[in-house]
Order: sequence, then C-alpha cells, then structure tokens
Amino acid sequence: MTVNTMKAKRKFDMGTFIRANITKSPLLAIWTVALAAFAFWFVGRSMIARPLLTIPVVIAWAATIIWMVRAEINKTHSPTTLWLKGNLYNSITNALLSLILVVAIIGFLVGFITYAFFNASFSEDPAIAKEVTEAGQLGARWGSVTQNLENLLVFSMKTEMYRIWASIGLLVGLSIPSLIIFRSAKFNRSLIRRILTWLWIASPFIIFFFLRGVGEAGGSNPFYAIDTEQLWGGLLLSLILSVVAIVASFPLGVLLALGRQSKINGVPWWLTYGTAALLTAYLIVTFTLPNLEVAETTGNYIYALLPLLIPLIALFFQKGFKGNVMAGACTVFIECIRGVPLITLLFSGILLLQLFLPDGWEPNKIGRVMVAMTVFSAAYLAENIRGGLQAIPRGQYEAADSLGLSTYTKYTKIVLPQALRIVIPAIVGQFIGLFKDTSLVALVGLSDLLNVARRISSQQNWLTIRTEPFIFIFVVYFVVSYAMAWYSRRLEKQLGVGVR
Amino acid sequence: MAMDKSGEAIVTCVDVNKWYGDFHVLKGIDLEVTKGEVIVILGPSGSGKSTFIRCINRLEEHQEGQIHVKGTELTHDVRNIAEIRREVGMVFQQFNLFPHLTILENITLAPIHVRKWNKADSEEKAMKWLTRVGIPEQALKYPGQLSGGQQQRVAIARTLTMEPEVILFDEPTSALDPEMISEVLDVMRDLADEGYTMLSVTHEMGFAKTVADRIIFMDGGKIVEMNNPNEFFNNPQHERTKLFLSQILNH
Amino acid sequence: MADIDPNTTGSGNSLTSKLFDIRVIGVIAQIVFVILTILFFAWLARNTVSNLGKLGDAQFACGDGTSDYRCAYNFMRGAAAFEIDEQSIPYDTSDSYWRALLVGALNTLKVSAWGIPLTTIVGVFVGITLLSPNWFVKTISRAYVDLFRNTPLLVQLFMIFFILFAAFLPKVDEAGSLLGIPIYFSNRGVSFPSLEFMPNGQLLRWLLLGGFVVGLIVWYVLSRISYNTGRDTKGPFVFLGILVLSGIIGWLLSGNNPSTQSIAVPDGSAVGVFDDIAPLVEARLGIPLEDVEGALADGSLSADALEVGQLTVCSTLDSAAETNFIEKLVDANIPYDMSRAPSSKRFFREFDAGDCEIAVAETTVFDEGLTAGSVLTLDEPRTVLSIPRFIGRNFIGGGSFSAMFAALLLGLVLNTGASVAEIVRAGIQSVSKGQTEAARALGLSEGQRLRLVVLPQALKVIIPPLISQYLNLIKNSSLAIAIGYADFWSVTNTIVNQSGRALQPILIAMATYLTISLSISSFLNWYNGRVRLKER
Ligand SMILES: Nc1ncnc2c1ncn2[C@@H]1O[C@H](COP(=O)(O)OP(=O)(O)OP(=O)(O)O)[C@@H](O)[C@H]1O
Ligand SMILES: [Mg+2]
Repeated sequence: MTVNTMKAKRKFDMGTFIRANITKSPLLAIWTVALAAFAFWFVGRSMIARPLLTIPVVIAWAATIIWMVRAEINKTHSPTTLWLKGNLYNSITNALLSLILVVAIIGFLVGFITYAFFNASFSEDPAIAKEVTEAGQLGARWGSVTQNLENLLVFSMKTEMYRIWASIGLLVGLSIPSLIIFRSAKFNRSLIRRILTWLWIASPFIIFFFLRGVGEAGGSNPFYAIDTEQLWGGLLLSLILSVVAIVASFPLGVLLALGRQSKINGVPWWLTYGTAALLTAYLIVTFTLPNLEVAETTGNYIYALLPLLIPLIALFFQKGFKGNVMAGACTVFIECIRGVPLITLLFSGILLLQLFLPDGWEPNKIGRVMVAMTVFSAAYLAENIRGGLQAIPRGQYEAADSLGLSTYTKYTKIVLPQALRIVIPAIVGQFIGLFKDTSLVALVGLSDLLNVARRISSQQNWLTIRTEPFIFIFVVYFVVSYAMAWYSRRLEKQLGVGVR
Repeated sequence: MAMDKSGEAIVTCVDVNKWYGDFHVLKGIDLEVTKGEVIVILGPSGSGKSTFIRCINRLEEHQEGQIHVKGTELTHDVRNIAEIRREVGMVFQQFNLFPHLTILENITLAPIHVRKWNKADSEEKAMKWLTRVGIPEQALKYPGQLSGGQQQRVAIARTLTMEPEVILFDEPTSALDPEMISEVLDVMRDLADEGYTMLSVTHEMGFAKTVADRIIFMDGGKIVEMNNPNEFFNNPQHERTKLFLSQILNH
Repeated sequence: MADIDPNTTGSGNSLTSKLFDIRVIGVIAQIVFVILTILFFAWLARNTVSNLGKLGDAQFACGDGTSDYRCAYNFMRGAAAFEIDEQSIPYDTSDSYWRALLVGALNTLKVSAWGIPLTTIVGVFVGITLLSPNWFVKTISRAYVDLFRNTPLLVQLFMIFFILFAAFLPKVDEAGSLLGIPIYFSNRGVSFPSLEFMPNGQLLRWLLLGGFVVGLIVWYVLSRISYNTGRDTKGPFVFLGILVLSGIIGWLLSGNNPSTQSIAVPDGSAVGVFDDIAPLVEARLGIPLEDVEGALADGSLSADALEVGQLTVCSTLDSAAETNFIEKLVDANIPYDMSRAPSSKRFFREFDAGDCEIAVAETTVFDEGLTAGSVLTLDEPRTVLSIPRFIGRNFIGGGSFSAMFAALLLGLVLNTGASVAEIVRAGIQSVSKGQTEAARALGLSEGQRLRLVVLPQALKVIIPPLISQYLNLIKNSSLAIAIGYADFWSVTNTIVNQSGRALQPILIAMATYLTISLSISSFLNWYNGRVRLKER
C-alpha cells in the first residue's frame, strides 16, 4: 500500500503500486476515487476564489510529487525527497490529503489574516473603526482591545501600578542572580543559594503584600490595604487566584496526602462497631422515634431515619480503611471535593461560606473565591503528592527506619523531599489547570480576564463587539498555559535525567 | 534465661514465630548471638532468612516469642524500638541510599538527628568511615554518580557511623557486578576482624567459610542446622543441608 | 530494663509503658484527630445555626406556621414559577422545584449522553491522526489538541456561542443545508433528519434496540473467539446482520395497521376526518390551497388574511405525533399556525379555551387528560425518517438542538475530545515498538496486528483515563449556566435565586454530582483491580 513496500523491490513496479493503492480492496478503491473527486472539487473551488495562491500551491504539489517519484524510480533519493516520501506522499491517499489540507490551511489563513490585518482597523476611535471595517468586508476592530488593554491586564489596579511594578521588580531582581547562582555548580550548597531559595519561597507572600497591602491609607506606608474586590481584576486577578490557590493549598495537600497514605494501626473493630451501635441506639431513641411520630412527607421519613446510616458508615469505614480514621477522613474529603464540579464550590464559597463563619468574619468575594479554589486545589494536589509518595521505593522507608530516624525526620528529610521532586511536573500541570479554571470566577461576578473581555461588548464605544476581545484573551490564556506546559515538559526531562 | 547466664549475649531470640496472613514464615527460631560473633545465614530462596533478620530491627514484626537486643526487648513500645534501632545497623541488598542527599549528608543524617551529635562531629566521623571503606573523595557526590560497589560501601559507612552494636547484612553483594563484590567483602572481612557483631545473609560461600564463627542453615522458616563453618561444610548433619550444599557447590 | 523475664511480653506493664505502645499511640492519635475534627465541625455547625437563625424562620417553614429543620426541604414542593427553555419531560411553572430539578438533571443527562459517544469518536479519530504519517494531518491535529487543551473551556464555550453561533451562523430563515444533506445550522441551533417512531412503531423501536444490544454482545463474544482461535469471525458484519434482521422482523410484526388516535377536535368541529380539513381552510381563504404561496408572493393574499384563514393547531412538546400531522398538512398544502405548550396541563387549558381547531399529541396524553372534544383516527406510518423543513418561522420535523445545547455540546466535545486524543495517542504509543515488530515477525497482517496485539494492550492503558474524562465531561457540563442551557446546575442556581434559600439546593446538587462521580470512580477502581489481577 505504501512506497515503503516498494522500496524492497528492485524496480518500481506499476502493477504493485496500483494494487497497493487502489485495487487491494473495493473499499480502498471507492475511498481513493471519492477522495480524488473531493480533492478536485475542493481545489477547484479554491482555484476560483483565490487563483493567485492556489495555482502555485498545486504546481508545487505536482512538481514535488514528480520529483519524489523520479527519485524513487531512479533510486536517487536526497534527504528532501526522502522526507517528502515519508511525511507527505507515502500513498495516494496521503498525497491527496496533503493537497487538500494545504489548500484548506491557506484558505483559513487568508481568511483570518484578511480579517485580522487587511480589513482590520487599529484605531481606538469607534467611528473610524466602524468606517474602516465596514468599507472592507469583515474586519477586526482592534481598538476595542487596545483601548481596554489596561483593563484586561490589571483592571482597576491601573491606578495602583506602583504595586505591580514593585512586584515585577522583585521577580526580576530575584531572577537575575538566580540565572547565575542556580546554574553554576560553584554555588552548590552555598549560603547565598540558600538565601535565594528562601527568597523565592517568600516571594508570593511579599508580592501578595505589595498587591493587597496592610494598614490604613494616608500614612507613610505606600502599601496600605486596598479594596481588592473593587480593584483587582483582569489577567492579574487570574494569576493571583491561581498562585494563591496553589500556595495556600500546598500544606493542606501534603497533610491530606500523608493522611490518606498513613498506615497507622487502625481503631480496633469492636471500638468502631461498639461506638456506632451506641450512637445509633441513642439517636434512634432521641431523634428517630420523635421525628417518625410527626413525619408526614417522604422527606420527613428519610430525615427521621438518617441515624440508620451510622452503622453503614461504620461498616464502610472498618472494611475500607481498616479502622484508620485519618486515612478515612482524608480520603472522604479528597473524593468529595474531586467529585463535584468546581463551579459548585465557587458558588458555595460565595453563597454559603458566610453561613459557616462566626460574626465579624466577612471575607469579600475575592476572599471567598480564594477559599473555594484553595480547597479545590488541595484535593487535587493531595492526589498528585500521593502519586509521588507511592513512587518512593519501600527501601527508602526501610533505610530510614533501620537508621532509627523518627517518623517526623523520616518524612521531612527523606520521603517528602523526594516525593515532591517527583511531582513537580504534575504540580505545574495542576497550576496550569487552576489558571484556566480561574476563568470560572467570571460566573460569580468577579472581574477576571474573561469577564472584562465579556463586558467590552457593552461599552458605549464597542457595543456588540465580542470577537476581538475573545480572540485576544484566547491568545493570552493559550500563551501563558502553553509556555508553562512547555517549561514543565523541559523540567520533566531534566528531572528525568537528573540525580536519581 | 540463657542470656543472663552468658552475660555476653547481645541478641537473643527465643521461639520467634511470624505469620504472613496464614503463611507461617518463621517457625520457632531460637538463636543467641554473643558479642563479636559473626554469623552467616544460609538457606534456599524463600526460607525466611531476610524475614528473620528484618525482625531483629523491627522492619518486620514477629508475632510470638521474644527478641532481646542488649537486654532490651523488642515490643510494641516505641521507646524500645527506637533504642534497638539505634543499636542495630542494617545493610541492604539494594543499598537504599537516599538519592537526593550527598554521600556525606546520607551518612551524617542519622548521627545528627538520632544520636544528636553536632554537625562537625558527625562529619568528622563520617569522613573517618568513608576513608575506612576507601572512598573519601566521593563525599560530595550524589549516590547516582557512584558505582554499585561504591554505593554499598557508602551504605556500610552510613551504618557504621551510627556506631551500632550489631550489624545486619541482607545479601549485601547480590546486586553487585562480580568485580565489585570483592571490594565490599573486603570491607566486611575487616569489620569482622575488628570484632563487630555481624549477622549476614549471603550466598558468598568463601566469605562464609573464612569469616563466619557460626553458620546457620534455614529452610522452611526453621533453623535446620547450626554449626561452625568447618563442620558445616565438611560434615553436614541434615539431609536438607547436604542437598543444599551439593546444589551450591556444583555450580 | 535489665529485668528480662521471658514470661512477660513488655519491659514493664505499667501504664506509662502502655502509653508508648505503638498500637495505643495510633489509637490515641486517632482519637485526638476525631475530637479535633468534631470540635471543628461543631464550631462550623454553631456558626451555621446562629447564622441561619438570623435569616429567619422562613428558611425552614413547615407550612403549618411552625418551623423546624426537618422541614428544610419542604419548600422544594412549592411551585417553581420559572420557565425552563428546554425540557424532555412536561414541565410547567406550576410544577414543583423537584420537578424543575428533574428537568435540569435530564438536560444534563442529555448533553452527557450525546457528548460521551461524540467525544469518543472525536478523540479516537484525532488520537490516531496525531500519529499519522502525513505531516499536515499530524500538525493540524496537534494544533487542535494544543489549542483546546491550553485554553479554558469556558472561553471556548463563549467563543462558540457568541462568535461562532451568533456571528457566523446564518439566521434561521437563511440556513442552508450542509453539502446537500438536510442538516441546517442556524444561530437558533441545528436541525437534522431523525427517525421518528410512531406509537404503533414502538415494537419496531424496541426490537431495533434489542437487536443493537444483542448484536454488540455477539460481536464481543465473536471477537473473544477470534482472539483465542485466530479465526476471522467477521464480528462487524454479524453485528450489522443482526441489526438489519431485527429491523425487518420488527417491520413485519408491527403490521400495517392504520393508526391510533393522535389528533383531537373540539366538540362541534366541522372536521370529522382528516380530509375535511383542506376544504375547510380553502373555503376560509377563498383560493385553492396550491395557489396560496403564489398569492402571498404577488400580494393578492395578505398576511393578515392568511392569519385569519389558516388552520390553528395546538401541540405539546415536540412529539412524533406532531411531526406526522404536520407532514400531512404540508403535503396537502394546508397553511397552519401552531403553538406548542410546555406541558400537557397548559395544552389542555389552551384546547379547552378554544385556542385551536386541532390538538395534536401522543395517544397516551389524550387518554389521560382529554375532557371535551373527540379524537380522530389518523393514518400514521410506523416509523418515518423525518426531515426538517423550514415552514413559517421555524424548522418543523426532524430532530433539533437548540443553539445553547449545540454550543455546549460542541464545546464539551471539542474540549474533552482534545484530552481523549492525547490519551489515545499515548495508549497506542505505549504498545512498544518491540510488540509491533514481534507481531510482524510472527507474520500477522497489519489488520491482525492492530486487532490482536496493539488494541488489547492499548485499551488497558486507555480505558481508565478515558473514563475519568467522561466524568470530567459530566462535571464540566455544569458550565452550561454560562450560555443559558438549563442543565442541572443552572436549574439549581435558579432555585437558589427564586426561593431565597441557598443551602438546601446547593447541597442537593453537590450530593447528586458526588453520587455520579463516586459511582463512576468505584467502577473504575473495580476495573483497574480486575485488569491488574489479570496481569499477574
Ligand atoms: N510481605 C509479605 N507478605 C507475604 N509473604 C511474604 C512477604 N514477604 C515475604 N513473604 C514470603 O515469606 C517467605 C520468606 O521470605 P524471605 O524474603 O524471608 O525469604 P528469603 O529466605 O530471604 O529468600 P531470598 O533468598 O529469595 O531472599 C517467602 O515465601 C515469601 O514469599
Ligand atoms: Mg531475602
């Protein structure tokens, strides 16, 4: 079916070629003919619509095929012809597909470039933009984006830019020495390297302080507390939320992972069942019976019979977790959080969190969303870290035990450092996920990147303009996520060939 | 009890039994190890050798019988377990070095955190032992950068820096290439000469013959035969032992 | 410690030594943990109780003036009083909140039921093209996967709904067919041909469904046989054969009996049989029915006159009976105006009020609620391939997806499909080159190699993450709220706003999602355990 098989033959054999590509089975023949017909129709259409671009493509296609086939017949392959053979034209189907796709790509690109550049207006004056884009056919009005660029990136923090510059300054200030110190072996184990590491670890907290501030305005303190709900937004908010969620969920995630993993001796079965029996009996007398008496609806009956769940839970707990309360509790927490969509947690954060807090604790919307995202992130982080823990060979635990290390030392010095190193790529992956998930806060009314973009269409200047802002934020999300993913893959490779 | 009488006994096992679920792995093991003695444990695969020595430092839990180390009984009491683990070192087949720590950190970790020696002392002792096993120049490298034989010698140094009373070896040379085996065996031989108390599971018959004070042959979770090397190899008492030896020596 | 007596198991039996027993420590640690947890929850509960108290007794009103926690969910029985745009069961604003939730749940189910198979198709297809030898194919698939995996689903949904649907798709009356196939995309949604089973075609429907299931089972068994014996058992053909056979049997068995009742006319109507309708309308309009369209075009018939003269029809939901009836009207060139009631209650209310000359519904609906008027017999085929036609202001016949549903489905399928593609690619690649070469060395054909060597091994790697992607799809369908599709979460949210109670609806929603997730993940655990067992 392929040129590959032909290579084995001494000479190019037309019969074999046709058999492999067309007549091997009736299905193949039908498919090849249909594809050829489609290609003819499709390319023909494109030829009429965009002759100047299509004709050269078709000529190039035909020419390279002839070149490749000649090389194949005369056995005079060069690297280029081999590449052509391997990647574009290794069967009739693929040769046709290549043509169709290249024409389609050109069609798409031409359309998009016409929209985004040739027919587009970059003016921030809506009248001019309207005129320009309506003169041509369909064109982008990029003014809607450029005029809102600050809003999209930092929202109302544009009045507090010094805070952002301070944060960026800190990051740059840390990055430059890091490039030298973390790269060269000379600084291995040196004090300065350790200080730098700690500064990096502290940097999210310092930046948080810069961006949020503490204390009253008006004093000598330039970083006084601001109203985050009013000011934070745009890309900045998305980044803050994802960083806060991953950092804040870290200790919780580690504890949950260790808890779920823990192998401590469980509560003996008689204790579990005994407690459950007593509790059930007590609740049946004090709760179920009185409630059954007044029950009217099905719901009432279910409510009254709720204590009967206790023995079931006890059984599940004893059988599933061998009486290990910590493993049980951590597992239940993790699975409950992972089992519901993030959006339900966000709405709970906004609508219900206040209900659980005592008087006087009134976090604003951003605070509540942070709590929800942290809890969400902790459950996923715990699972990632657990994966790392499971990857630690048993010998490491045994070596630590045989040296007499305490449990605490064993975990902080031996197990966790290794487990965390293994899961760095997974944590970066989770961070990317969180960054994308921050777009959901648009649904609870925060002014994140997505919501700012969405609201542009209701600005007087840019009524109904949606496409351009959406394309812009699509690109922003893509660039940030893709860059992180790329970095994470590199990291993975490095760790893979690293110390271990 | 026996131990009180000898006064020299450092490890005493009385009727030790262990089960994995329904599977009876150790069936009434009795053994007394006196200070400075080198014991080699032989036996076919699956006979419970590893399980037995791992019971001595509580990597495995025995269910019946008693194990005493230096007069401390191995019970569920965490203080006893900690006490015994301080006094019993172990060298594993797979080395089990900590890959994220340098050689020096590998060795000083336990002295600092368990013995509570200060860092300088610990490092000094660590370097002393690294010199003894012949690789002081590797101190700042990571385990992954060392050969198997070197890693195993580091593992021995790591164990010895803790100054244990008893050292357990579980097939320390089985994961090594032939040319590296001797460098590890040499170190072990030196230790034996210096009077360390050692319990070693090994398939190195040469080592067993020349170094051991006593050889224990285990099969099916029992100690089948126990004798000095000369008697053991030249005049085995039990059929099972004879069979085992003939199989080994025919190779 | 020097005291060693073989008869005691501890180095002392005092209380302190018990406290250091590792088993006791474990239990103590857990008891402390439990107490701390209980204290934490008690604190939360206390806050909650006091905060709920501040919200007032109405939160837990029992309806008889008293208020109690056990009545927390009583309000759910009250009238929902909000409209739901899409419903697969009858629903009316007078129905309860529970019913509204059920409608939402069914909508979630609907989008998942379409989404999961479509995702699988897209994912498997793209997963294979990711490994295509053709550079263009590979690159385009890679671009699709990277683009959709590195941007938020919500942004994708917005772009599909607000850009693709709202800006790029034509208005409903300008929708053209797709390459000649009668599938119409418009900014109101998608209309496509569908198989409609009339009431007397139900036997055929069940036989077809049964044939499908039996066929699948046989196919599976045959593939096992083929795997064990190496014979080519032609599973797909046997499957098709069984399906066709059950279709034919169903067709023959259900006979060509003319139909049961499916339209009703009010008492005193001039319509006695279907053929009465055409003359009636013709008389009202004053021109032959064939000429209506022309008359409208040249202005000799005014739109107002048509409005008055045309047939008025009531219908409930989007039923097969309706499609059938409308097809008949269209065939007879009878102009009509149809109103659809969202529930049978409303339907009968409108009919009784004399809003329409003809009511059309499934037989069962008439059996339940028709109080006045008489039911007509109508010739009705068992099954029709119903093709959408643009009539009046809408597409009639065929199946249709609303724009919201279509956008959500498309977004979910494209987004999840990208992840599935990566899974499939990784699964195929996980079958090592050595295996491929071994298979070639054994002289297996390319097809046998895929079927016997690559696929079984790849599936083991693919299925667990694939199922968690399905779960993700179900959970992500909750983003429907962003584009106004009335899924489970969206309805929950409406209930929160409508009832002024947040705790109860959100708890119900979370519990529901949790139940679904946990059942799927326990299935997954079971499956993983089984596969692992086999590998031993
Ligand atoms: N964790 C465990 N659970 C159940 N059975 C086990 C476990 N560990 C070991 N066993 C069984 O106990 C028996 C003794 O194992 P042990 O590792 O002590 O043998 P060994 O004498 O050291 O063998 P080898 O020379 O192969 O190392 C074996 O049959 C083994 O299958
Ligand atoms: Mg062993």
